[in-house]
Amino acid sequence: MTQRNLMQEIQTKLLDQGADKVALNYSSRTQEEFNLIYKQLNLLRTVQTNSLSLIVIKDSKQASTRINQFDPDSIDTAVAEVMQAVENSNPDPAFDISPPDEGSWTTGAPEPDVDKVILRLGEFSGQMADLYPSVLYDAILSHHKYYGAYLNSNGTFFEHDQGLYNLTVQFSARMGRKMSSFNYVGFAFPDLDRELLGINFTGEFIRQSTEQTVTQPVPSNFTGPVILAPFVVMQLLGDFLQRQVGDSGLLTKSSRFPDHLGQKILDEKLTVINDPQAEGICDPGYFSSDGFRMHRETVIANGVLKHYPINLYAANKTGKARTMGNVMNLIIPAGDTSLAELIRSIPQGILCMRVSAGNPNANGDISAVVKNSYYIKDGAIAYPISETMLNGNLVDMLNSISGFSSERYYSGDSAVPYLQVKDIYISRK
Amino acid sequence: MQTLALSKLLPAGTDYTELKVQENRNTTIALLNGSIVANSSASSAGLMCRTYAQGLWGLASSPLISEASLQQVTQKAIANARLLSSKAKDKLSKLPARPARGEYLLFSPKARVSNQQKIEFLMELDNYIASKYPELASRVVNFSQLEMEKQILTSDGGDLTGMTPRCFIVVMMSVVHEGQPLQHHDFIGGLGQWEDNFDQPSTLYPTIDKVYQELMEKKEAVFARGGTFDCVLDSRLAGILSHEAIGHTTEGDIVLKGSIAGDFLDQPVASELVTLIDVANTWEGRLCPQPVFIDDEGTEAVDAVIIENGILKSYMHDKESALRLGLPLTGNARGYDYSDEPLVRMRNTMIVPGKDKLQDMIASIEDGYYLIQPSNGQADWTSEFMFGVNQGYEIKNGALGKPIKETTISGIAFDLLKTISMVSDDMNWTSIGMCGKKQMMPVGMGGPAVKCKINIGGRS
Repeated sequence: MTQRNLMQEIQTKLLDQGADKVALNYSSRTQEEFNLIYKQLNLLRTVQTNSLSLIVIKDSKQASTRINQFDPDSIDTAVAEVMQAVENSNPDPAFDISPPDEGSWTTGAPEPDVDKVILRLGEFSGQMADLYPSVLYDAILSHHKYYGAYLNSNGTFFEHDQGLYNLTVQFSARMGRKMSSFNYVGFAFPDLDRELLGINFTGEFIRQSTEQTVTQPVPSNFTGPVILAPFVVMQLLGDFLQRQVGDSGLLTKSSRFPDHLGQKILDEKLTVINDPQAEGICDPGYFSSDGFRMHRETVIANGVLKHYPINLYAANKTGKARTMGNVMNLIIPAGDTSLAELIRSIPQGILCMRVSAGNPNANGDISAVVKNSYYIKDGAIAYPISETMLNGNLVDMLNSISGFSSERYYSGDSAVPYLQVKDIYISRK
Repeated sequence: MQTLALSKLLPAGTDYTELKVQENRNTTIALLNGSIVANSSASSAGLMCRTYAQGLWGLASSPLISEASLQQVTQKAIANARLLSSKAKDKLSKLPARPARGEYLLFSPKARVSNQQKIEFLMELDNYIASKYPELASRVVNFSQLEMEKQILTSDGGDLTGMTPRCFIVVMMSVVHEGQPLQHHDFIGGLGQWEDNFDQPSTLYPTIDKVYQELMEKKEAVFARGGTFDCVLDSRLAGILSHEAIGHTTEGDIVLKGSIAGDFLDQPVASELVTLIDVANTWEGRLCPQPVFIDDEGTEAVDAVIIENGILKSYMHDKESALRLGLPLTGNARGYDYSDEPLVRMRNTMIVPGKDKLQDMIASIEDGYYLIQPSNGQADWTSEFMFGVNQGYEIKNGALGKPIKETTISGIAFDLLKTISMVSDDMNWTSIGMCGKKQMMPVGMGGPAVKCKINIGGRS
């Protein structure tokens, strides 16, 4: 039985038992995962997982269940339980499913090239031993064969067959009793054509750890410019998109921008796009979990909010149109200035490579410990820092952008440059 | 959960093998301004075999639970281990063992509460909030429950059948003050199922009232000043201090990866007032939030006394880290999902209470902060840590001053612990968070209030 047939069979059971509307999300994954632990090959995992979510709407009430056992008894039990649960829920006219549509996509290498995986890992560990003998690390190189499908009772069906590789490296340099903060890289990529250290600046980030074994705080507290590395931008902007203009912010009425469509809310230099077809994206989201085809959409154009990136329920609940859904492939255009030039423009500031932070509060206030980062003085990297915090407001930061780097980091599902903000309060211990 | 007769499925001729059948069950009911926005359940079940050959591991898993599936998975795991062994340079010797056998199924003995009854209970809480505090911009009442049920058999004699549940009700409120959103939340719950934790809605009313009062205080909150201050960390913060600041640096696998704690065994790392333990299952006669009697490698779980009167005494281990470091097993190996390999994970990490009174600790500070409620936290192998603080107050001349806005605190754990000068005689356990380390994992954490010097983020 195909996955589509299984989903249709379960949909029929739910409709026969009185459901008004049904939506099903299916996924299965086979993962071959090679683990270098303690700098050596240590573990090979072959993992199979699957999941099927059943979402039922009846009399404007909604309930859901998720299972991974698909024998007849397990399915019948899940159908009975979710139909009972939906009776217990309360009505909310905002619950709905997507309109009819259909699409099918296939991307990437469906099977791993095991010989090449072992070759690349051997090459990686050899280069690490030669170039960075003081660096302690774990590395995971995995291949993911993924199938995802969405089906609903309006006649919508999407499916995506996907294969990709993923690399995660966690590392720290140690020289005697001096050691760097640990750092990590993690990204998806389509093939094994390139050596691992050469992808996404991985070698450079590992090299940086070797000079971060001796650190000191900034010389004194000051207010100055900060260059945020792409991972930091993804972390902070992801929070902004969810809590200020996304589902949670609008539904809990904790957003500062609840009715700002078409208004300038951030710095005019900032443009934020969702684009599954963008160059360098190997982990595209072609359809959303609420059953819509994803298109290239500009969420924020030159600081102006063009779309609320919200799902169907949030749109219906807040009386807005669902025009694009949640961001799945975050794209920020590259700037025309290299990172080196951004650094040269700063009299005193910080190159912030990683933050360890509590979540910003509802208002956007944030304090964050900067990690694996550098003090900039007179247009040059002065020294790696520790025990230093940046303190500010996320909305204010995104309203005081002075530039973007021409280099971008490709995580597989996003492409983001370094971002320079003007004045953040920096404090030392 | 569907179980299998694992003993007849253990393969012969391996250095070590573990077989696992596991099901994780989640329940979520969420009310947003009175609407049930989530009424959902989820189950993830399957089986796994992990085997060890000449110092290397092979693992395979499948969601299909049957003897034939387990035999296939076992063959694949053995093949994976052999593939790696053929490439390996460093081959370890035999893994240590201290196997235990037991059944620890922590199902509630009370009559089951139905989905409908739970919804009625939660609706009553929501109605209480809505009627008493109508000026709120939004209110959330969220119930979540996780049950982890496992059947594990190891080739060295470990045998576990267990089910560990935990559940919580979180209450969150938000208000708009002078055009700016303010939020606050709190929770009730812990070890056990719904039936073990919740009886009458009215027992949660004091928590609701407290959340509201603290939210109102945030209207007057001021920014903390950035820098290092004398602070009292409330007992609600002590757990995350134990977990993030010290716990992660003393996990055996992290020690092997270069943790700074590897340099300090049997050396003073903290004030003599500090004793820190990763408790396996029971503290002062009561089950901890995440009791572990036998770990996922079939090892008997014992308390790991990490710091005793200021001296670093030991680490936490799985089989491989114990072998590599030549130290005793502690039973800290756990995996989250059926397909996950066991990793060194904390269980119930706590600082032992002292003799001081909280009010005396606050009174002893001229200019500092009293920090109460944590949010998320992160650790580092250098022992530099941070965690968010959702609620706190200034201390001026020995008395509480204005409430402060949300902030972040940080420090070098092995420096901070030496500044601890007072430890309170009370104790608070919590377990609502998930610890992330390749996999998610529920953990318990606890302790008393401590007075120390700590770096706080802020504006000045």
